[in-house]
Amino acid sequence: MSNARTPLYRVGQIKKHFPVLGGVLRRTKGYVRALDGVDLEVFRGETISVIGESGCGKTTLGRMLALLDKPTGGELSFDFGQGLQDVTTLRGEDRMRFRKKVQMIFQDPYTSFNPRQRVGAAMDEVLRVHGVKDEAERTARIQEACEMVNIRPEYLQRYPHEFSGGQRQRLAIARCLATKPELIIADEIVSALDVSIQAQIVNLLLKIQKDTGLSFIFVTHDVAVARYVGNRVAVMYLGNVVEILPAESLPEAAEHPYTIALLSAVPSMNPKAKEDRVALQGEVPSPIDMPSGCAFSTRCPAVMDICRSERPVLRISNISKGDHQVACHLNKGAK
Amino acid sequence: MSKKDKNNQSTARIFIRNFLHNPSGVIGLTIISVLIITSLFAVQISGVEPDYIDPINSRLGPSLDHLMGTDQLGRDMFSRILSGARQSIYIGVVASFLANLIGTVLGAVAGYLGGKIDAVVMRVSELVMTFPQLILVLIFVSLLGQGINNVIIVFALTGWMTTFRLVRGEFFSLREEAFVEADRAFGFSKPRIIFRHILPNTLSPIVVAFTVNIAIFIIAEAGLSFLGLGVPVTTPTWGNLLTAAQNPVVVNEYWWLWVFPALSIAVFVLGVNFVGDGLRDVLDPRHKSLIAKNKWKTMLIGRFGSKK
Amino acid sequence: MENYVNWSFWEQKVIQPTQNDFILDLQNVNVKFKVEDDILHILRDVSLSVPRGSFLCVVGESGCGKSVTAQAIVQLLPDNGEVSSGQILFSPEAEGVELNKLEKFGKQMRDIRGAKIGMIFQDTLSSLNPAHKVGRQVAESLLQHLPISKDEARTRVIELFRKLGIPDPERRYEAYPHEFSGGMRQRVMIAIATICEPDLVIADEPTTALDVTIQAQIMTLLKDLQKTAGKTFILITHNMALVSEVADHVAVMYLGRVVEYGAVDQVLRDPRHPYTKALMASVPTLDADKSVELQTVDGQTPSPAEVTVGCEFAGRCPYVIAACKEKTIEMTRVNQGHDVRCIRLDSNGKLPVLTGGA
Repeated sequence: MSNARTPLYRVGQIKKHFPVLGGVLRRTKGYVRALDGVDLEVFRGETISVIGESGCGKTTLGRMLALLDKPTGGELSFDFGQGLQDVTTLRGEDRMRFRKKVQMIFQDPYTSFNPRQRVGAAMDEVLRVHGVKDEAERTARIQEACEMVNIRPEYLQRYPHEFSGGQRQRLAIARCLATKPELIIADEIVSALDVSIQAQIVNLLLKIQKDTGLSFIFVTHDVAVARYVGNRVAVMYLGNVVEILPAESLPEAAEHPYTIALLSAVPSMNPKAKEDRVALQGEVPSPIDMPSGCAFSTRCPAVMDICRSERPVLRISNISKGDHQVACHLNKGAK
Repeated sequence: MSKKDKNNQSTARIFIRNFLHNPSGVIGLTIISVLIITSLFAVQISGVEPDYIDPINSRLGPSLDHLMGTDQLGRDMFSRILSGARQSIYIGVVASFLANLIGTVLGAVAGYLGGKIDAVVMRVSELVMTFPQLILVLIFVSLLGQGINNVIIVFALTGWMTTFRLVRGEFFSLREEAFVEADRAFGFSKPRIIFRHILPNTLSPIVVAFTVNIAIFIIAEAGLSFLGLGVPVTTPTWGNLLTAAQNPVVVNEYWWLWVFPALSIAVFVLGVNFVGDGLRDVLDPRHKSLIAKNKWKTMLIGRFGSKK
Repeated sequence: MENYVNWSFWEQKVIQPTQNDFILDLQNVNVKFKVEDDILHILRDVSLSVPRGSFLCVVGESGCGKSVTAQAIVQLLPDNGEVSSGQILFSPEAEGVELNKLEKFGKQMRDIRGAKIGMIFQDTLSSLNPAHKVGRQVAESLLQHLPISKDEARTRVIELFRKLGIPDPERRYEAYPHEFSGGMRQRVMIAIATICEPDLVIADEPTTALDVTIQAQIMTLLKDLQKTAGKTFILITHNMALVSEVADHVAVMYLGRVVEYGAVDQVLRDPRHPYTKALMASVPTLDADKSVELQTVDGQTPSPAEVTVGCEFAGRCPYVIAACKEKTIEMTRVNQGHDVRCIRLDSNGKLPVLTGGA
């Protein structure tokens, strides 16, 4: 499946290291390796869910993909229509072109709109900055976007604080849709909402994807939602992608020990699930002081000697035949 | 959602309406309006020119003819105080506006950009701040000479630092907000983000600083003029009028010569502070507007912690 | 699997929850809040009887009043709120005491809070004083209620830390809150809540901010405390799956009213109230069918001021009829111990089939 087509967005060994300053002279004591060599490909028309626990780097990855932060290393390439192009060096007009194609929605619905700007004006401004000069066209696009998210156009005159959290997220989605993007990065957009509102937003995202063929990168910590929303799921741990697999094959096809542990920890109505739960020992190591070799080696129930010295690379799974990649030294034998 | 439709009312009308329902705001506005209007019509109200010298009637206490008495040259104090109001208020308002302008622009730029630019401006502000203000004023006055506009310039150049710090602080925190990130993700230019998006969210403290500074500068001018360094005696200001109190005889026997100017300053400053309070309450768009009352959820969630 | 069974710290006390031995009994509790010029009816006739030694989960979304219920029990409502009517009977021993009749900060209430009823909050960062060492904060709770020496208190706290799985407890005693991870801080909160061995522990969304693997550890801890030390737990959460793992009983709340109550198996596997059903269907599980759309409820939770007569859920309920809005709905018993507040249930306690699709 993945061989036949070129990706829309390719992430190649992306690294993001934050220097840790310390001491009187503020010297660099070490680095927080928020992203430590991430590989990912996003295709047109697909939703890829990125899951992981706190500190895994999924939010940093999302921001990196939206070019809100510069990577310390690695490459980011986006396909504008003529093949993949490096986006980290884009400036001016070209960068604006990128921003039109790749949009982002943030987690906190309560602060993602300027509290002093009416929501309609906010959306209008975005379109103006992106070069849509004709006012009628801007209005039309905004109306269309609002219809897609079920917000009545007359509400555009209101200020953000007059809307509920769920409505604000819908407005945030509409704001992105108005620019007609190709990829939307959704960073924990439902985490702050009630479950019934979450369901509304999730259904909405799926509907939008069906209607427009957009790609989504859906960052979340909720494994069940990730599986439900995504076509594929990427699991992150301490700045690495440890496994990417088709959403439907979860949880049975999970191979990486961390993925298995993560899935087993999800509370479930199934009484057996609790018994099978994998209890991880130890704490997550500090991202400043990363272990050599595999980042999970300090807690992995199936750790081998090689894991402590050699960092596993993301490779195609030997077990499942589908679109499944895993970064682990287990199961490497069978070809 | 709100049942009543407030879409048709412009922001300005809502703002005015809210302000007029705010008790501090209304009291303050009344006080300063009364003072400003009477000061503009000083001559008509008092019936006498402030400079009209009438030696026969000098040093008279307050009476029906001269509500605030007369001074050594027989000039009517009521008239002088009212016309002095004009100058003092003018100085206070313009100086405050200029000082705030400088402070805001510098604070916005330094606060958003950070780094070297911020470091440089901070050092400059610290330098000006630590220099004893009186000496700075003396230096400027000796360079520029006395006079109302010069006093204003001096105040603006030495009084921008508080607003600068304030705005800078606000920018430091606001630039991490999600909507600023969103703006960056949309590719908005830095000036647009700074001046069109973040700045309006710092209006509240800036406006309050503006009103507070008016009060400060009026008092500062009074102090300077009292010492003879500010506006020359030829143009009456409240401060000038206070120079009368340099003489202990006056202080004891001709109390009306200094009590009334001092009271005027106090009353006006009080009024300005009330207006500032009112403005601060009303300027926040999340302030309870008269129309939509179903903010219970935001308030309750705020009280008990949100769902997350 | 970590095994917390042998707690020598607490006396071993396995309690089988019996029918009528309630450690906490809320009867028709109403809570009103004064907001600006309005009086908002936040808790509406809430009745909950919690058997001694059981694990109750109170579930609902934001605005349902679950946190307010907890606050009302321990008399920590904000200044503008009060229990306007009803009874909160707390019976740690045979003799019960009406909590709502006690003075909010009087000696009796203060003795109860912390020593007889422990509370665990959601936000550990703001519940712990960042300027004090953690050990001291836990010990403080102990010293307030028991006449023991500081050294003895320290020993007990360190022992408790060890039991709760906090590694290197002697060193951690001297640490500050910010030096702990979220999961560890929550264990500290549990320590504070349980150090005086209260009989009832109320936990308000204790794991919502934590990673799922840590959540699993904390929940195991709490459940073990119930099973092996006979403590009664009230857990407030919005996570239904979590409820299924730890609860004995469930109370579902909507806009200040308990709409469904019963044993966890009854309520979760066979929900009868339209809201409960919708809630269960709106959350995807790990084995959810991706081709089935998540069920949603139209609109959002109204403000308490908007609903004063009839069923609170009527405005959004797919089963609504005119009678639903006319007067207050009473609870219907559909099974032994399973109560549902809905007039649309038939004689078997089931909802009618909706024509035209739900």
